[in-house]
Amino acid sequence: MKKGILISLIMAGVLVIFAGVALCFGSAKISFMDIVSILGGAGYGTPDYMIITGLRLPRIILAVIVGAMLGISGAVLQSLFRNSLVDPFITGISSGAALGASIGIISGLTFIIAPAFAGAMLAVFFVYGVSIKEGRVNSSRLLLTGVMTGTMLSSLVMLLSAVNSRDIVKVIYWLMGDLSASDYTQIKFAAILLIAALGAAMFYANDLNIMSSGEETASTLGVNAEFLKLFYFILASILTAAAVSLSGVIGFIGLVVPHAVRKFTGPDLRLLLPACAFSGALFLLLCDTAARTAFLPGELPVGVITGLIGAPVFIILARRGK
Amino acid sequence: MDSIKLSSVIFRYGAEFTLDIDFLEIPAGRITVIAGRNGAGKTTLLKLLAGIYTPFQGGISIGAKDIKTESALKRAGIFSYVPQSEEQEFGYTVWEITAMGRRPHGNALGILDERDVKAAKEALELCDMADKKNREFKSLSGGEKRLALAARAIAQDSLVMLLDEPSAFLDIGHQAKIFGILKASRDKGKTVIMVTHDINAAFDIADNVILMSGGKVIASGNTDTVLTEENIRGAYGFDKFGLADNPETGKKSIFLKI
Repeated sequence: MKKGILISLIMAGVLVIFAGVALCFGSAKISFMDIVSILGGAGYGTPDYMIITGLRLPRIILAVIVGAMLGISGAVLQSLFRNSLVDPFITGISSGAALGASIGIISGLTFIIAPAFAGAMLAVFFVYGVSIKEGRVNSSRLLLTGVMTGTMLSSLVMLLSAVNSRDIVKVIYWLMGDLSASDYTQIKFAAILLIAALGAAMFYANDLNIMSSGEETASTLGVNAEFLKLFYFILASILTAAAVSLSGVIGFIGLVVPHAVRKFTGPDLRLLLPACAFSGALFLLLCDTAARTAFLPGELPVGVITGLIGAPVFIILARRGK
Repeated sequence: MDSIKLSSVIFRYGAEFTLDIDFLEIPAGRITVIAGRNGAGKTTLLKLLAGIYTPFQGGISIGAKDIKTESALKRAGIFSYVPQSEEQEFGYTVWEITAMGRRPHGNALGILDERDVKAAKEALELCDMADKKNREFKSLSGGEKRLALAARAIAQDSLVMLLDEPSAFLDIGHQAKIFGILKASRDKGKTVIMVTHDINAAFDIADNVILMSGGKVIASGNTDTVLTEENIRGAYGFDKFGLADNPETGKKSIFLKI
């Protein structure tokens, strides 16, 4: 317990330091001292003030929030399915969001978050509904239905893009992940959701530890396995849906972060969940800083960076594991 | 604790298998072995007791209390369950696995108090696993895993301990260790119910035997009165065996005539 709090505090400190450093990088050169005074409220209305408070800061905060959401979601789903290869997008959530976003883009909507979130949640409820048999959810069936639903929905996205070719670039760009369209209203809601979800996830974390023994055995240890499956599946789905609808499909964080963090913290979710929240946040923050500064004045989609870093890291970890 | 009673219990797996028990009484504070050929319904009966399966009809009661509808948490206070095997994907340590047994006594957050720590430590010591408490469960040998699972059930400190083939695939040293743990639990007043294919183990440690065939109980009661040549022949559909007295223990023993 004390160890957990100490590690969390250290990681929070590291995250704040890196967020501060990330604030100094960008296409416009603004000195560290100027940034400190802008954050203190000076220079209101100047271009530098607009860049720092209107562009870099919300983007950095959104990266932190989305990274934390994907880290938690990945850790929860890997534990729930007792499989360290599960990633938050495997259950069809990202494809549902992509379909919703594509419909939104093609219909000319400017606010893509709502259709993306609706698409993600519809996909989740469809997958869960199909996986219920005689009042019980079979985890393997849930996973299989999720993968198949994801494939089907991805095909629908391609179909929509093919018949509406003028919007295809916008759809593809959204799919690659983008944190630039962040504003403080979204950030406020996302932060509240993240904190509430992490708190709720921590409450039953020990029961989820016990589920590692399998549903049957867990029930004989006093765990309500059916409730726990529904609770964590919905919780992880809401977090993933929120992350995807805010920033597009940013892959690998939900897979790599829990996998890597578990090697340091062990599998106990009471320590793993907060550690994955901080590590996911840090990883996406670093990747997004690289995405927006590596090829100035241009930018890369952040999903490209997370994949390029995440995949090799995963391969190295998998090899070491053997 | 009163004895466990099953009355008019029916459970089905699709159309292929039906477990049908008119009446069965399992005495408290004894070691009861459930025996019978493969597919007789032994594990199904054990899982019905554990609450993993719910009977389609009929009741399972202790005294006047029907336990069929108890919540998982309350049931875990009555029955602990040791599965035949357990696969762990992640690296939980033997200590963490054992401490999971304290869930019915502790809180949802799993913060252990002094009593929980003491119970888990004693369970590990009883099972000779105290020196391996920091090892990852998945890195243990088959026998060590079985001992760790027994430690978890002992830490759970329920009234009844249910075990599925606790001695299968174990060397004789580990078998003796497991049987010693079960006897010690019985001597502390616990009820032990185990499924086994090992008829000699039943002769050695069981006070009571339930013999099953085709989803029905064909005999139940004191070990020597149930495990007769005739009943064994009927339950297993096999007659190339004999029973003799073991000169060391004075108990009966089965040998094959092949």
